[in-house]
Amino acid sequence: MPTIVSVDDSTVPGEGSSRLLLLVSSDNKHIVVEEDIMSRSRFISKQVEGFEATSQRHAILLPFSSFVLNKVIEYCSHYRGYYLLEDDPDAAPPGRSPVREWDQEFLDVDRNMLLRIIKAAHYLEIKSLVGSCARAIADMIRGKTTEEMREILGVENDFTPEEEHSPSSKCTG
Amino acid sequence: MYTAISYAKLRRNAIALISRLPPEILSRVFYFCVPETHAFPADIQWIKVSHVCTRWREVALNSTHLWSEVHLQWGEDWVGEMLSRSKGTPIVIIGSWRAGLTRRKVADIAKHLPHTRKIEIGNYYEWNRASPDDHDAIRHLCIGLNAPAPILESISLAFNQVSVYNPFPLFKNSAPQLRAIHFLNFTRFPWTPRFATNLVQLEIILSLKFTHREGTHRFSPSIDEVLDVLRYSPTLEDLTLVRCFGPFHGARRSDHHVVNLPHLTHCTLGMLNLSDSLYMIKQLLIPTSAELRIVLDIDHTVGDATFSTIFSSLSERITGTEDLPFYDVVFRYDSDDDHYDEDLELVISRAPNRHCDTVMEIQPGLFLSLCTGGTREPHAELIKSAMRTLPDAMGTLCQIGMSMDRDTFRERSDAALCVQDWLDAFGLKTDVHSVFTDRNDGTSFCVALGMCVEAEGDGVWQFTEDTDAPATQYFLPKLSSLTLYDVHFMETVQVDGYELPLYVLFEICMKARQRANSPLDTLYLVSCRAPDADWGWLESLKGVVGTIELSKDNFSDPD
Repeated sequence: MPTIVSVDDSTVPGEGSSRLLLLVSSDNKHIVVEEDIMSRSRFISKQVEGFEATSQRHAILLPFSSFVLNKVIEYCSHYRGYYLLEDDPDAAPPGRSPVREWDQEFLDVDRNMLLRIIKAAHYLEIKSLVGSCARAIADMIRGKTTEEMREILGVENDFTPEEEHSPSSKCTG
Repeated sequence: MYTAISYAKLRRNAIALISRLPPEILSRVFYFCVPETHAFPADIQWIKVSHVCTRWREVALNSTHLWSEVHLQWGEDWVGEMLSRSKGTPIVIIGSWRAGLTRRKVADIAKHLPHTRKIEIGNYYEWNRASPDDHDAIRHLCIGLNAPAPILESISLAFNQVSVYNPFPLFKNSAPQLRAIHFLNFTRFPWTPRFATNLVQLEIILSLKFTHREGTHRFSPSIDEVLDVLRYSPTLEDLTLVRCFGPFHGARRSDHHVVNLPHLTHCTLGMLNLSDSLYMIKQLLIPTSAELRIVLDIDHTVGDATFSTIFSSLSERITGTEDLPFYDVVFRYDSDDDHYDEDLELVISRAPNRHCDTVMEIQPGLFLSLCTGGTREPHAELIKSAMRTLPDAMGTLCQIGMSMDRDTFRERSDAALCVQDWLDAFGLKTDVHSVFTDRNDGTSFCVALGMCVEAEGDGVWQFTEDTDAPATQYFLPKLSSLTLYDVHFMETVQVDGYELPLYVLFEICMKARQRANSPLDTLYLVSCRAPDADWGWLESLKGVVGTIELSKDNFSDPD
């Protein structure tokens, strides 16, 4: 759960037609963003609903860096006002549709950044971004050998010899 | 020692960034690693994700949706492993039949029927290699389908052989979610009216080669049985019933009410005889907007009298009375009488745009198409016979299609003769304005373009622009549209002693048409192969051809 702190209304001009939100990253950067932009995030939407119930607006503290947060905001800004099937809670889950062209460029980042973005997207409950990141990671490892996958994603073979030859690995493809 | 090392690596993996992703996200990554189409064995490399590390294996094995598409061609070990890993999640059983699946494994598949969402099994092209064990396995698969299928949505079974199976009700008459049934050569399920309700698609087809075998229709449903099923499926949108009933000799049931199918958009009926077809049509209330196709098999005994009977029987529909829904009538002709495959199709339709057909507009808005398996025999006599029985046949030949293969050309050496036969049958050669060519090495498009080259035999061609030369009599002056399928433009033919690439020859043909004041308005290239990556050679046709359209499936092969 994020920590919620009360903020001064003058810091967050949340009145009027264009309401703003204050997001605070783990490196303590304060980022003001229009509520409308972040409405794609189910997590943020739920927070805003909470504000409305208590008639108090707060800063939302998030457990990832401003660098990652800014990337997520960039994504949400790009798709502001767009309908994306993946983000529709009432729609059937989409199949393996290809990555959108813009997303492909947007996610052309190093491995660690990609993993941080998907984690942030998961935390913020932005399904479309989770899907695009998952596709991007899948693209990195598809068709690779087991050893290459380990190298790409920085994991080691931690199987014992017995596990390596267990029945569940008998079909090695 | 190994355990200690493994533990150290396990701890190290735990702090890797990828390990901090929740299992559902990792599972989603794996999901996107699964290719949409599975071709054994290359495409199952993705399963190697379960061999990367302990956590990945654990996540992969617990992600049941990763194991929900069971492909039979992957072999017995894989089928067993997939079924066990799916752990009751809705599964799809799919693929062509692969020899080697044992009776025991097939029985195992059938046990998973309660959580099977879709079954799609076909062996149409591989059955010739099937062993007696495979037949036995199929029989057991069918027996296994004698159980309720609570979540089954669609079933498609296509075989190249009709075998005898024990009679039993399919799915114990309980498949409440079943919406689509496709059976090809698999009509031996005795069924009851309650077998399936609320179907959207029903397709039962028996190939021509099986219809004459004794006992084929022993377990086939009767027309009345099928009508009863249709009565419980008012949601039906697509209905295809071809040769699936035995000849009907008894009296028609008098208690039948007309079956109303208000949502039907496509309907193909192919009975063993005309009276059955007409009976079936009378029993169905079909929206006038639905495409209704009637398929009739005709054999070598067909003559003017038969055609006359058929056409007069259908004349009310052919002459287009508005209240009778009718889209097209297909006559399938087994010219060599081998009961194997149709050699010729005659189609009366309301749309002219059928591929590889010769199409005549016999009445305004009504077209006669002729489709052949090859042009070795142009069936000119049969066509003429059909024409004689159609009083209004003096229509316009608006489109001609050819599927002549390279061998046909080489054997006959006078490829143009094929065209001659077709055109002579109608005597309407000057009105052809649209040509398709299909599955050839490119030589037939030269024929279609009017013999600016002349066949000399053995694939040797000569240029000719002499309008009196025999070859140029096939020039089609009104040709405005040309569609080329599967032409490999980089291949060569010998013309005037030179090896010429087809794209050069094509350009020459086009320019010849332009000089003869018959330029093409439209050129469509479909599934063609280009000599260069960017299709730059088409630049040379600018100003010679009006519009050039490329379908998405064209490809280049500069090598």
